[in-house]
Amino acid sequence: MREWHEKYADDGFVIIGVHTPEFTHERDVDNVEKALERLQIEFAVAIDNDWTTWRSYHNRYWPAMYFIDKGGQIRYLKIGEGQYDYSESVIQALLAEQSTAN
Amino acid sequence: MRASLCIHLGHITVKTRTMGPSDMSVGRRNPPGVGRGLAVRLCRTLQRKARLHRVILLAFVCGLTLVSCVMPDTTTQPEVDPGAKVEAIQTRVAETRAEQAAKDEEMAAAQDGNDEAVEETAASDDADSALVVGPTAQQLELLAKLRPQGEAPELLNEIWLNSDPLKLADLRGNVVLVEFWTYG
Repeated sequence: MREWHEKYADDGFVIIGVHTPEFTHERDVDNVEKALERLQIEFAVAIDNDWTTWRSYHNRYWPAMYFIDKGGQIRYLKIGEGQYDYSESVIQALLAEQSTAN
Repeated sequence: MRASLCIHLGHITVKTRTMGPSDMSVGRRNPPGVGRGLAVRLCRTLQRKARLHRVILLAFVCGLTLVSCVMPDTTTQPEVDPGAKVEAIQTRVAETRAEQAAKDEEMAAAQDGNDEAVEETAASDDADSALVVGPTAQQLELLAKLRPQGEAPELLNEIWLNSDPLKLADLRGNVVLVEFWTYG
């Protein structure tokens, strides 16, 4: 994730981490901030303590990655760890794709 | 040789046939006077027939000899033919080679044209790629599989880290990865 952020940020790739807590102590924003420092996460992270975004996405899993194209459409959903090479090829393809919204 | 043999054969047939009427079995059935007269008549007619047979045989043999004389001409013809055939084949081969060469030249010319066309398109592709990098064939294949699954719901969170609050609506034209995670 960090690698992708460093690698593709200049090409128009934006990573948004939605932090939806599972346990009470994870609701503490300070703890999340410390975790970001520890994990050297530099991309934007939304605090979803009230689970609004989780619900609007009808999400059920951690981690879950939604790949959104230039037109705002969800094109690929990756649940769980692994298959990073395929996910990266999806990012590359979506970046190479001509925007349909513009 | 054939003619003489045939004549001999004719003579033999005449002899054998003349033997018929003088046979004892025939003599017994008919009265002797009538039988002799008949025999003489028969002999004469048979002799005439024998002459006729000889003439026919001679004519046949002459025909055969004539044919055999003519045949060498027809048999010698093939000896002449091979040369002519070889020449004909050689000319045909030469013609087909010339045709093939002409075709090859045409093909080469057409290929050159194609190559030029390809070069032109490549040049135009390069010109395009200088502006925008298009997806590769492999990426297009992948993109075809990545069917749109609906518009991504807007992010309504108020507290953000590492960034000011972001809206997906403001990020159109960018590829966005929304990841649900927890540090725990």
